[in-house]
Amino acid sequence: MTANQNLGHTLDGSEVDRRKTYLGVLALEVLVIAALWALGRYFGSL
Amino acid sequence: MRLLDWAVIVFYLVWIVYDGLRRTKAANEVEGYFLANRSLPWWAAGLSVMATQMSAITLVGTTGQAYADGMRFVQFYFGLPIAMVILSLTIVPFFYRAHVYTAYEYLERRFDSRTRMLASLLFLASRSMSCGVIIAAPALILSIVLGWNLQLTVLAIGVPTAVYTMFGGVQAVAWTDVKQMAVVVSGVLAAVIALILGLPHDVSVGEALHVAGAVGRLRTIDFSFDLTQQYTFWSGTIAGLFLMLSYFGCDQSQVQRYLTAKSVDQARSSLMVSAYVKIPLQALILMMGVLVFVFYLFTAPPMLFRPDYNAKVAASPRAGEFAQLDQQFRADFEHRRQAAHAMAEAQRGGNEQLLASTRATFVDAEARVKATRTKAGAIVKDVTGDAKFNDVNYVFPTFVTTQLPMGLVGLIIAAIFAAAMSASAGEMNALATSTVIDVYRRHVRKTAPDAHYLLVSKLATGFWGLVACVVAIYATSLGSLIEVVNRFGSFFYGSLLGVFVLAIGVKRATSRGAFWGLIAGMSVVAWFAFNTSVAFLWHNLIGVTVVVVVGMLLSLTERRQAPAA
Repeated sequence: MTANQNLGHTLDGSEVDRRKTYLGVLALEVLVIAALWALGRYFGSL
Repeated sequence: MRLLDWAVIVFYLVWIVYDGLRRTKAANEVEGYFLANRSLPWWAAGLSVMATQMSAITLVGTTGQAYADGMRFVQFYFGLPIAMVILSLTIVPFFYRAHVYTAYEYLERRFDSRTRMLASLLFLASRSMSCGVIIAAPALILSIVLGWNLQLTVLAIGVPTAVYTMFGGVQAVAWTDVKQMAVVVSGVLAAVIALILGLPHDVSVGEALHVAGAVGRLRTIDFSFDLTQQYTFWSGTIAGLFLMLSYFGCDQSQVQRYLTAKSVDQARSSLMVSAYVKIPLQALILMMGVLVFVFYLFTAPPMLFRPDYNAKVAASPRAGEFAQLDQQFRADFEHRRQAAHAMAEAQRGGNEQLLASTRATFVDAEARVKATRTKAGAIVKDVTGDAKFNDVNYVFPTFVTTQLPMGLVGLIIAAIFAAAMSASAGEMNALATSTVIDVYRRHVRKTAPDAHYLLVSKLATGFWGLVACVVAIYATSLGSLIEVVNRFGSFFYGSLLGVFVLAIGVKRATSRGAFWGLIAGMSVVAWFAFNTSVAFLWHNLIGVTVVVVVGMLLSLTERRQAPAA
């Protein structure tokens, strides 16, 4: 039994894809913010 | 401006109007005119969402902001991707399956016609003014920098937009948005390439960015928690989240974009375009501003970037003092140019001690340039009476028109036009939808043939186009009006989101709670705006909280009173 079945429903393919997309969006945001922070640090902000 | 530049601008305008007008056939019934018969692919709806959100001020103003202050503004958008995920899971399937034309239509189904009417009237009042401002702001800047007639510039942006939106409906808006986004991105990329190529041959991009970084231009993330600071990591992520939820979830000009998608999944995907692209694109636009700053380290800029005010001061009794400051500024610039070169050279050499000393010299030279500009600004304020004088919005257009080669000037001015037209077209279309669906069809003529509503819809679009142009012409002569319009928008946004939270998330919420909650939310936000220095992004969070708390309390009281009655 999967974790999703434990929640009382089974995820279909599109639902799984959608969740991957949302996780991808959030992961990209974290990466972009980290990159912007690193940019400021590397180029010597005061 | 040379002939080729004019040709590029005229070609752009003709192309966009032609492309919009050829969608007229698809807009032969109300559902086609307002919702494109729910036929658009996710990427077109997604680009339309982005184009509606990005006005010319985003392009021109934030570039100037990065020039003067660095890239901190990007934090404003940190809540956007999270908001898009939340909306995709909640409001998008909700509205799509409810088969509504407007977000406010749902409020009547859930509460009553009074709450729907209040929300739609607030939207109409706020957006009709802001639509004018969206046209006015770039028209004013372009007319000053290029010496164009202001009224004609307003009409050159507003009239073609109103014409294709009026005849082609939402299809015209969405498909021209796609092209306009392409023009904007092309313009930004072309400007970035030109800026990189414009660096002195002995200074690399990396060295130039180190020089800009020394005076904080690449300081992007600010983790301090200060409610009075406009752009911090926390204000962008937490308070910005509520602004984005409200704007993309409750503002008809955005809701209408994704209601045109083919399916719920495509509507959700359309929001993901902004979720993925908005922050990197905004960072690129801000980087363009930093590169303009770097460019003007090695090429002499004007002391102040507002030619009309410079001319006024030159004709005033303080002209001599201003000319002396200008001479001082030239000397300060030359000192800073040499310091920037020395720092770039030290960066290349890798000698830490030399780098530290050249960096200190450069920071000092930049402070001197800034001090001279401040003194000049004080003279401008005194002579013109413009106490809020700030020339950041004029930096990028001045750079474009004085430094870029023929053809590229036309492309970037076309990109500024494109940003203004795409944002205002979406708003005219949404204003007409709310007028016809929430007001006319609901309160004036409840039953009529589809052709009648289609005709009224086109007339309503034309009317709002006309209003936008009139507001734009007056807004340019009333500087404070722009601020009033922006403030009014911020009173409205968080509170409206609160009403939708009550509608969708609180089963016990009643119509009385929602209506008075909305009024209470707006009043409290107005009080905060006028009496405290809390940054405006937080007003959205305050608005949502007040509406939800007041709405719930009133709803609970009503439920307790009901059995007794």
